[in-house]
Amino acid sequence: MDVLNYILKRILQMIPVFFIVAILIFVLIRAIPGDPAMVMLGERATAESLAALREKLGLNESYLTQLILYFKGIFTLDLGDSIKFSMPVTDLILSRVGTTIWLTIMSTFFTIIFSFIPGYIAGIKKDKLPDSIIRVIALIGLSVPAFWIGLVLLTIFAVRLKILPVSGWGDTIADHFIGLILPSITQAIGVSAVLIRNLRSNVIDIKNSDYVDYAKSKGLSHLRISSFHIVRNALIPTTTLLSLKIIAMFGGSIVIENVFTLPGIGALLVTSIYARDYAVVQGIIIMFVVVVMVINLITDILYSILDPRVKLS
Amino acid sequence: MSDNINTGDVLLEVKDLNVRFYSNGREMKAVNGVSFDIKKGETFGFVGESGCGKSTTSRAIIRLLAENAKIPSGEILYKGEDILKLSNDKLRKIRGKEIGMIFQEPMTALNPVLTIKAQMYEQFIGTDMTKEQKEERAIEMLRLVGIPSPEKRLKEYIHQFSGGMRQRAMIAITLAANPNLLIADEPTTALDVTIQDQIIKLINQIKGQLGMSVLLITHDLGVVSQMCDRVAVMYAGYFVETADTLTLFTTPRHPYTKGLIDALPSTEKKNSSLKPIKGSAPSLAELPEGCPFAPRCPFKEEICDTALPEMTEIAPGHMVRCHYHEKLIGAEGLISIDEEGDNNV
Repeated sequence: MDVLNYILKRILQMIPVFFIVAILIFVLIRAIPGDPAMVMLGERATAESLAALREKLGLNESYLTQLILYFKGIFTLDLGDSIKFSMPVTDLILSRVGTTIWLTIMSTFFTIIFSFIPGYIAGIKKDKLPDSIIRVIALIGLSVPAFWIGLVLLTIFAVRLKILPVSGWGDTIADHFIGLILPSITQAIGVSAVLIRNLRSNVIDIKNSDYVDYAKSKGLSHLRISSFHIVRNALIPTTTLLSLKIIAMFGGSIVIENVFTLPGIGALLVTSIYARDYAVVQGIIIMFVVVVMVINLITDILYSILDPRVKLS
Repeated sequence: MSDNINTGDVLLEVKDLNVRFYSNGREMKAVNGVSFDIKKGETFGFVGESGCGKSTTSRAIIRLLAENAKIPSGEILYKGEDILKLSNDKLRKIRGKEIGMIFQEPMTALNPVLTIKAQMYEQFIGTDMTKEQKEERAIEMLRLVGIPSPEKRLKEYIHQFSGGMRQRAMIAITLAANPNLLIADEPTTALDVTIQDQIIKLINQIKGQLGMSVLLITHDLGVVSQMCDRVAVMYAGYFVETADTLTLFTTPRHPYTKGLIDALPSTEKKNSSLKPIKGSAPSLAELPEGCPFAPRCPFKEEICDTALPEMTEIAPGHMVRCHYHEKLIGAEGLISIDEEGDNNV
């Protein structure tokens, strides 16, 4: 099987990349100035407790030993314990990652809703009124920072209209869903603006292409030409862009989760950095690396399905 | 054959067609007062240089023009019905099924991400063919155009085909709808010479088998001589001369036609250099008041700058747009045509 071979090959290629990034994380974390034990325990800590913590964190070992222990931990999924939360990092991340994944999925969903149809209309109606309106809206969406849009949406829908919660994500699945609406729309707005522009220019190129003329010369219906020849082809480059933006939105959770106080990975990362909870910071970054690699792999496979000209090799 | 008066044989008749393009507030006169007809089973050729309006005229026939184009006047009668007056739904029934089209570059004219099969099957939308019948017909079409192992190739994409096979595949897709008129817009221009010859023979052969008419658009007089029954020479959006192919090559009466023929490399006079027509075609936005060819014409007189000559029938089926077409009598074309018409490359 072509596809299976390709996936296997790509996974093998990912291993050295992962090692390099993991080593980079190890070095960078240790390059942060200050004694982690001191920062964690505060300046009035006794010498004994500092020494005990250093021992526990393995800071007395040589860097090489630390590195070996670090990789051993990664491969056994034992990323150490969180000082602040007093629980294994793996468990801590797993308890938080669901929120961020759902936030990203809903953001992607709203991005598609906000960008695909306007992008297509803008392209088809190039330089006409609908195009001008969509382009102005897209420009605004692009220029205004996400956190500000978030605050404005909060003011309108949560504070004034009181139809959506100000923050948090409740206890039931329905609460979770309602709690994620504003944050995901906030994320989707900026991203949609980029996608609209991309899709618009793709549609403009394609609607003037020879193969659309040929499809017209065959007497095909407007609907068929739009869906099978224009939209399908225009979405191929947009898919790649969308996957990059999904990765960016996953990272963007750091801002959004803090604005909307959602208990996700982004919020956890910020808390852990303030607390110098190195094990957690390290764990989250490693998880981010894996997520980015997996999304890239999925995109490449998807791309080869959408565009047969791309060879799986 | 050209003076066939029986109108029952006429498949397409274009009367006084005008096409205008509008860009940046300027009007481009792309097609000016073009009239011709195509009979059943006939190959009619448009010949002229790039931008002379030959493609625009052919696309206007199925209203496949850019958004900034307008057809201010004219009639395009297909089987007696004016295509310009048809509703979009009725137009769609003419496109493909009655009048099919092939383009210069199959690599860009076929959708790169759809299989040949998918694009062939689009021709069967609206018919009540079963899946088996569609497949049978698709394979039959690929076989007809000489594509080996059609069952396998049907599932492939256009980029997997070689240059000549690509053009064959597009011809197969277009002809799958069984059109009565094939518009072939520079079908051999993108191909190398040996492949070009194969495609010309293929179109000629299939045309005979299916009994369809062909409108050929080309800038290559060699292709004209191998394919066309009658030819129209276009210049700056005007027809300047129409005649049957033999007459056009042997007794051209318009200085531009004469110039085109003289510019061909000759096998008889091996050491002579090529004779290009001096100057270049006028801008379609600023056509001269008189004859559009006047600025380049060696026979030019005063009247040529002020009055546009009418299309005049100087012999049955031979029309010329020139004030001084008599001047060319006796100035025969430099090349002679033998029976097969394969006089040049």
